Amino acid sequence: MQDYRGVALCTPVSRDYARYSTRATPWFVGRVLRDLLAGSGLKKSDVDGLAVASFSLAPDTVVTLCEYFAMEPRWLEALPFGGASGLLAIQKAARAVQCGDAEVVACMGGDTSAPGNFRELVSDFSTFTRDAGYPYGAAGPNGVFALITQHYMDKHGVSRSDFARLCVAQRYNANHYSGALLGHKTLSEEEYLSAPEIASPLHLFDCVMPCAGGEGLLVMSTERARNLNLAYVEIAALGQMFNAYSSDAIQTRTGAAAIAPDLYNQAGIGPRDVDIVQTYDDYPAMSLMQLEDLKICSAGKAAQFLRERVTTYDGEDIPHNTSGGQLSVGQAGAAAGFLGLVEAVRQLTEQAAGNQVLGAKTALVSGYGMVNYDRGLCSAAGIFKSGKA
Amino acid sequence: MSGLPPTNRTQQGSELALQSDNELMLQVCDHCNTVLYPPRELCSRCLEENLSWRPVNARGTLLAHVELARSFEDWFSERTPWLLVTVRLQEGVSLICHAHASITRVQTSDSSKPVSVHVSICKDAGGSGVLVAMPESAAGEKFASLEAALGWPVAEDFGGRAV
Repeated sequence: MQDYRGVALCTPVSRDYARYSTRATPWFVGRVLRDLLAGSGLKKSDVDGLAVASFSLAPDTVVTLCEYFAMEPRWLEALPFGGASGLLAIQKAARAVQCGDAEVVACMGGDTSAPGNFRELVSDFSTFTRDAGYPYGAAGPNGVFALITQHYMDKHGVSRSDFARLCVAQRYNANHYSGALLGHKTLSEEEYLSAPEIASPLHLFDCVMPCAGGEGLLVMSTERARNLNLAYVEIAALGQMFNAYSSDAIQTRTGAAAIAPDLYNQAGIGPRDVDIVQTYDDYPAMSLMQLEDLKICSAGKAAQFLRERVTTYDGEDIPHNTSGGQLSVGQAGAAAGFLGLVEAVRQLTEQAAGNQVLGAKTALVSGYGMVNYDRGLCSAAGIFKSGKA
Repeated sequence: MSGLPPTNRTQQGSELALQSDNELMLQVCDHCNTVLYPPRELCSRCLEENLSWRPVNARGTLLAHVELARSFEDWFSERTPWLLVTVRLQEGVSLICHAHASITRVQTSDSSKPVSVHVSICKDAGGSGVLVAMPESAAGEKFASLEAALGWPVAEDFGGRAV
């Protein structure tokens, strides 16, 4: 497989997070685009590619956004990949840049949020959901992930206290990241354990808060980034898998397990060479699974790993979900599929503010999502290295 | 008590309600005999289109069980904790089912001691067919409704869970 040499990721943008908003989705995407231009010094006409992920864009599309934003791009991509959207956006954009199909691609996720929106989304997410998911308790992803989480806990002897380690560390990270919706509140293990039950074994702090917000970054050649004097990140490896391990009776591993060997081969490094890790934390058990799948720890040993390691941004072991993850920032629809990636680019280009990991050079980012019936179908992962300014 | 459980289904999904007598019937491919769930229009294995609802082995292994404390629908919210389980059939399909309370208080992942359950089809309050997991001893029993299958005392003139 061809590598991703010569491709730069720059100008990480996360903005406009709110529990609810009366704004429509194009506003969130447009605000991210505005910041991508302001941050890079590029003109709109310099951006000849757009890749957009959203659950709430309809009836608009990435095509109608071109007219809305008065742009004439020659390359477009819509990304229906949920939590894997960000990694898939840059994979496609990187190939477009390498092949000369586009010079500068704005990769963006944006979603609005209004009371009732989330119910509307989950009640008819897919035909399988309509027939075999929603009629069973109408709990949305909480129901499916409660089942997956219960099985995982039984299988590996994991307790709620183990999940508390992850959630409390992430909240601490969020306390140092100004963009996190829950960053103004601290979270203790006691508060985590005594939270109201949502879908046993899931309690309040195991469930992300749906919200509005936007995320984005620019993909261009490293040469272009240097000419613009932009700090950038290079792609050392990327991989994706869909509907992986479909014969597993219930989800005990994600497609990341299938991706991992080639990922480290591509990058020429091992899991221990990674400075920071961003997993897709729609639920704590899924983050634990991704840590195992990506060989950050052994299979079934993520809880023990978390008990023995410090994962805060300022800890000495392995900083994980350094902005607080979705669990503390909020889940802005498909923009959440960019959250870990954009945060990794911020970290590796030393543009993080209160939560900067000192000396981080290499980041592992994992995306996961799209529950059709009883499991998430999309997985993507990447390894990134800081480039030169 | 208000409203109904979700009634929105695809054409194939609505056919679950037509399978009678509580017997577990699922779509089976006429061409390659693959058992299919959730309902669909094509066989996932061979992509042929002729599928028939046929009886399948209703005995399955319990993989996970949860208690929902919250729901997006009032019908469930008014009846919490609502029990859900994942059941694996021998045919290699996993079923998310409503569950009888007696099967949910067990360790599910100790593969040396798998818990066997029986899966039936019942009609819910909205008239839709739904899957219900029950103790194995319930195999062959007949239930007029989801509430009856779940073991709730139900009064004729009382729209839901009579206690």
